[in-house]
Amino acid sequence: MSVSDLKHSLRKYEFPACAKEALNRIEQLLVGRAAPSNKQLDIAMDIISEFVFCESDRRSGRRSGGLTPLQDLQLIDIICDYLSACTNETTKNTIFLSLFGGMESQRRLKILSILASMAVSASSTPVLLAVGVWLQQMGCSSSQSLQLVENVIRDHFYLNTSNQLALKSLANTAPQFVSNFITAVTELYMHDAQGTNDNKLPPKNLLEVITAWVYSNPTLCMSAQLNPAALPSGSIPMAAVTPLAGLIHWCALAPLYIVDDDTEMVEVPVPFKKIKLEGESDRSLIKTVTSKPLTESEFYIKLHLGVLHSLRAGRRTHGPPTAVNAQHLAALAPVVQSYAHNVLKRGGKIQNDHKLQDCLDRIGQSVQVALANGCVYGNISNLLAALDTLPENRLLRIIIKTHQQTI
Amino acid sequence: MPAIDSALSDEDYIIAKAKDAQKYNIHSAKAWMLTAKTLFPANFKIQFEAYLMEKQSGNVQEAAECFSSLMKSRQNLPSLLPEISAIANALRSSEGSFLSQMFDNICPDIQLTILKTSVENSDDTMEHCRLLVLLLKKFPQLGVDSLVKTLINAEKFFYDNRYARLLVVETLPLLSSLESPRLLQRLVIKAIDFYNSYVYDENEHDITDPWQRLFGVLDLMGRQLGWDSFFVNYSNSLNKETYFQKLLTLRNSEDCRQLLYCGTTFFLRSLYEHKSLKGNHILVEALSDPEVAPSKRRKGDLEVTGISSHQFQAAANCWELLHSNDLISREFTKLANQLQTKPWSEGFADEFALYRGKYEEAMPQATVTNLTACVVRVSINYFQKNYTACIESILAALPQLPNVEGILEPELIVGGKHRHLHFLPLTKVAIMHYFCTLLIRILLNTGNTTDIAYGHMLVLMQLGWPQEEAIFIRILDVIRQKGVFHYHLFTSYIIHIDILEELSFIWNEQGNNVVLDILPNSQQHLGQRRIGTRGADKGVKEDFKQAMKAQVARSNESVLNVMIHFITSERAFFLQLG
Repeated sequence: MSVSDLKHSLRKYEFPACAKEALNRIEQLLVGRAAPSNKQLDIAMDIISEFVFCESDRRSGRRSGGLTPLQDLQLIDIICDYLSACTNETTKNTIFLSLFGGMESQRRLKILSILASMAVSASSTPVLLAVGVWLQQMGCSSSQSLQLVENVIRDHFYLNTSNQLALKSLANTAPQFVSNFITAVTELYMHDAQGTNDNKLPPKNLLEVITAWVYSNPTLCMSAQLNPAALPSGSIPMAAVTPLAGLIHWCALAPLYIVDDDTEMVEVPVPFKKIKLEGESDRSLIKTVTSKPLTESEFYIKLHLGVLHSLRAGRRTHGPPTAVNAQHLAALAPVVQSYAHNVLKRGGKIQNDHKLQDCLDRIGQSVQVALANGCVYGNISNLLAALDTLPENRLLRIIIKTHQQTI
Repeated sequence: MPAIDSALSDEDYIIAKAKDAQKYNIHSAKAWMLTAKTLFPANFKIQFEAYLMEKQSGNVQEAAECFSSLMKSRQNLPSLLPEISAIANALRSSEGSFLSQMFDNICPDIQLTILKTSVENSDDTMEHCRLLVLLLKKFPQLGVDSLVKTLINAEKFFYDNRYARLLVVETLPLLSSLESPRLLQRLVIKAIDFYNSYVYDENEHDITDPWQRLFGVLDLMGRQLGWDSFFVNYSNSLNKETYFQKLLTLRNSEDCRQLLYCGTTFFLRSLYEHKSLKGNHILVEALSDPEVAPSKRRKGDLEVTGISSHQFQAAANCWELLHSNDLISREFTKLANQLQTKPWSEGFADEFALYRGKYEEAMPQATVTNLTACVVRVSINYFQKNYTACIESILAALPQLPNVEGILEPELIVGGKHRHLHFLPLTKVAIMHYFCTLLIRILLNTGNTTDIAYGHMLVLMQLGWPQEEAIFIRILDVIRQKGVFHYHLFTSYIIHIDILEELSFIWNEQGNNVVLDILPNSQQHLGQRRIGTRGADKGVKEDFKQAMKAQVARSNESVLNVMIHFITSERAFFLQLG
C-alpha cells in the first residue's frame, strides 16, 4: 500500500476514529522482524502527526487549532486502550516512543503528562511500564522527564492525598516505572549541588509514599536495571539510573534542611471519617486512629534504612557495580561543607551540631553499606578523598580507614 | 544524646551508637547495626547485637537472617549456645513463640546446625534425647542414624523409661532404616521392653496402639534382615492360631532372631491379653465326660476353657516354643533379662506349670493360705487323688469365699476323655460349684456305695443341677434296685424341686417296692415300719407327703448356703473318705 493510499484510507475516518486506526497502521509499519527503514519511520511520524495528534492538515501545513482539550482526553483514552490491549512489550514501547519520543513538542508532552497521571490514578500497569521506559530513554533528569514527574506529583501528591494505598501498590505492579519515577523525583528536591537556594523538601505525602515504596521493596531501586526495557530493534537503550544516589542525598541532607520538627508546621489532623463503612470492624478503626503518624524526620530515618537495605539488594552477582555512582555521592561534600561553614560562622561547634553529625553519620552509613555491597561504580578513591574533606565524624574516620586499607 | 566515649573501640563505638539510637528510633538503630555488620562482618559482638535488636523489635524475618549469619561461623557457636538452647526450648513448646517462628524462617541447613549443636551441647541426657527427637522430626531424611547410635549407646539412656519412650514412641517411627543390624536389634529390644512395660503401667494411657507400634518396629527390622513379611505384619498377628502355627515353622531355623523377636512379641502380647482378660479367674483342673461328644474347637489332648483360654494357650504354647531348643532358649532368656517388666513371673509361671501338669511346681507354698491357693490346692490334690488333702483345702477355702455371688460355670465339665483345664472365676457360686462337682467325683471314685454317700451326692448335685443328671439317674436306679433308701439328712439339705419331684415320683409309682427312709423322725421305726404298704399305714404316707411339701416350700432357699452349711457340717464324713 502506498503512502497516499494509506493516508487516503485514514482520511475516511473522523477524529478520534482516525487516531485509533492510525495506531494500528503505525504498528504494521514499525513492528516487524527487521528494523524499519528511515522511510518507514518518516511515514510513521507523518501519520502520527496528522492522524494521531492532528498537528498538520492534508497538505502538511500547520493546522491552526490542533486538538481541543476534550479531544486531548479522547486521544488519551484511545492511546490508553491501545497500550492496554497491546500484548507485546516491544510493540507497545515502540509505539509509545514513536508517539512521545520526540524532544520538541510541548503539546505532546502535555498529553503524555495527562496520560501518565491518569495511568497512576487508574493503576494502569501497561501504561505505567511504558512511561517508565520513556523516562529511562529520555533520561530521568531530562527536562521532559522532570516536567512529566512534576505533573504527576502535582496531581497525586498535592491535590489528592487520599490515594496512598493505590500509590503504594504501584511498587509491586510497575516497579520499573516507580524506580525511574523516584530517580527523577530526587532531581527535583534537595538538589542543591551548587549551594543555591534550590533546597526545597519534597511534600510529606510524596516522602511518605516513596518511603513506603523503598522500605517495603528492597529490590525496587534496582528493578529498572534488573528488567531491561523491551525496546524497538535498532534503538539505543539508555542506562537506567537507580534512585539510590538521589535518595542517599535526600536522607543525608534532610537533617540539614528540615526545620526542627517542633517548629515544623503542625499539620491539622484530618478528622477520620465518622461514617462507619459496611463490614468495617470497630477494631480496625481504632487501630487506624491509634497508629501515630511519623514526623518528617522519622520518615527520612526510615527511608534511610530502606535505602541501606536496597543497597544490600544492589549487590550484583556478576559484572561491575551499577547501583551508585561514586561521583554522585562525592557531590554531597560541597553541600555539607557549606552547611558546616555556616555553623562555624554562627560560632557553633561542628562536633556538637547534631544535624550535621546526623548528616555525616548517614553519609557514612550509606557509603559504607554501598561499598561493602559492591554497589559503587566510578572513582572510589575520589569518593573517599571527598569524604575526607568533610567535617570531623568518627564513623567517617572508621570508614575511610577501612577502605583506604583495601584500595 | 549522651556523649559517646571516645575511648571505645570502633566496634564498641558503633554498638554504643546503635544502642543509643534504639532508645529513640528503631530504624536509626538498625541503620547503625547494618553499617556495623558491613564494617565488621566477622565480629560476633556486632552480629549478636544486631540479632538482639531485631529480636527485641519482634522482627521474625530479620532476626532469622541475623541469627543465620551468626550461625555461619563455627567459632561463634560456643557463644550462641544459650540462644540455641532457648530456640530448642521454644520449639518443644507448642505455642508459636517468637523463637520458633524465627526458626521456621531459617534455612534448613542452619536449622539442622542449630538442632545438632543443641543436641551436642546438652549435658542432661533427657534434654539430649528430646532434642534428638526434635531433630529427627524436623529432618527425618538426614543422616540421623549415627545420632541414634550415639544416644542408644549412652548408658543412662537405656535404663530410664522416659528416654525409651522418646526413642521408641517418637523416634523409631521416623527412622526408615538403620545401617547397623546390631543397633537395630538394640532398638527392637528397647521397643519390646518399652511397650511391654507401658501396657502394664496404669498411669499411662496416651498410646492407643502399642502393639501395632511395636510391630512397626519389627517391620523396620524385618525389612533390614529380610524376614518373612508375614511375621511383621500387625494384622496377621491378630489370628493367634495361624500366627502361632507359622511361628512353629521357624523353630529350627539357624538364625533365631526372627523367632526370638516376633515370638517374644507375640508371647508378650498374648500374655498381656490373657492377663487383662483373666482378672479374678484362676486356672484349675476341670473335668471331662467321656460319654459326651467332645467340642469341635478342641485341638490336641488338652482343652482349656474359660475367659482367657485362647490367649493363655497362645502365650503358653509360645513360651514353650521359645524354650524348645537350647539356642532359642538361651537367646530368649537373654532378652527376657533385659525387660524391666516380667509379666510371666507372676501367675503365668504357675499356670504354665499346671498347664503342663507339673503339679509340684504349680502347687502353692504351704505357707500361703489365701483363697486362690486353697482352690489351686483343691484342684491339684484332687487330680493327684489326695482326697483328704483336697477336702482339707475345700474346708479351708469355705470361710474365705468371696462376697461376689456369680453364676454357675457351664464349662466345668466338657465332653471327651482328655485333660481339661478351666479358668474358674473367683465367685462364690463358681467356686462352690467346682467344690461340689469335685466332692461328687470323690464320692464316686472312693467306691463308697452306702446310702449316705448317695444321699450326699444328691445334696451336692443340687447346686450345679442339671450338670449331674446322669449320676442322679444312676442313683435312682440303685434305689429302685435296693428298694430302700436311708438318708436322714434329706430334709435338711435336699430342696431342689427336680430332685424332690423325681423322688416323689418313685415313691408314688412304685409305692410298694421302694422304702424311702428319709424323715429324721422315722429313725426310730427303722426296720419296723415300711412306708407305702398299700395304704396300710396312712399316717406314714401323710408324714411323707407333708415332709415333701415342706421341702418344696424351701426350694426358693439359697442352694449355695445349703451347700456351705452341708459341707461344713459333714466335714468329718468327708475327711474320712480319703
